[in-house]
Amino acid sequence: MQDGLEHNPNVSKDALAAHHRAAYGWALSLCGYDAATADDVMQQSYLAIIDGSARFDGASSLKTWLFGVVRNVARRHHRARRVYVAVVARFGAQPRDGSRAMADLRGGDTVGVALATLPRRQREVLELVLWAEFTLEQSAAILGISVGSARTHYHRAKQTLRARLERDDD
Amino acid sequence: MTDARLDQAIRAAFERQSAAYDIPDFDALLNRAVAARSPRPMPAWLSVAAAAAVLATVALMHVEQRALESDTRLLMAELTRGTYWRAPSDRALDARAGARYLGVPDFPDMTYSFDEVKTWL
Repeated sequence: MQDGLEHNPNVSKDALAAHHRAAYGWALSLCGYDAATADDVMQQSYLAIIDGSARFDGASSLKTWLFGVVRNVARRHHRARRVYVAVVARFGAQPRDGSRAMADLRGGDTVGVALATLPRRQREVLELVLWAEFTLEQSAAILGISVGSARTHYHRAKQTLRARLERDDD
Repeated sequence: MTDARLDQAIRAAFERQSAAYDIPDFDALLNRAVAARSPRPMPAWLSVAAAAAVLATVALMHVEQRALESDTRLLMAELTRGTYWRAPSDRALDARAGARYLGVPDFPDMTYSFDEVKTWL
């Protein structure tokens, strides 16, 4: 059976499936934990892989590349959404907003609440390094920033979290 | 709090966050993406609308063509009836000079009787 990956000969369906769960978690995070938007972003990411507009050349690991594709698609999606919100606002209507902050979802989860209050980029670096198990170099490549910048975000995020959690413990 | 404990707490928070959601089935998502790429057959009503639009365009072109031909026939009839058009700067016309003036095609084989002169403004 054709798996639709003719335009990406270096990508196999099984390899993609192996990273599906992690990539979806990443999409959720990029979409403010709005499941419907994350679904759209994942489908568009797979579409980009199928039609070859995102092509894997083996320069990084497949997982790093896939996370980068998801991030790029999510960014495009957010740009389109900003235009949609602006157009809807122009006509005086209230745009539908499905996104929810992490803190709303986690309720009494102290760490979750603390994570939700971090600047977006700091939280993304933490998620990539500690949850998705990327190195700082890989995380920097996914986010399109320098390794030094990723390192700074990582340490500042942990510093902030440590201070908040220790303050809560007192 | 040790670094290792902090890392563990952060990992656990992300894990709980992710676990709160159903992961969509990979195959279903991939199939949807494949389906989104495939060209979809044109709906029947759209085919009918497209055919009607083509027919309307052809009919309109035909009407315009007929109108153009009608205008040409009128012009030729007016010319052969003896009305002559000339530019304002031209001096009075001599009927024997023939139709060699501005805007009038030269029909050397035809005979004109110039009984009226009109001037372009």
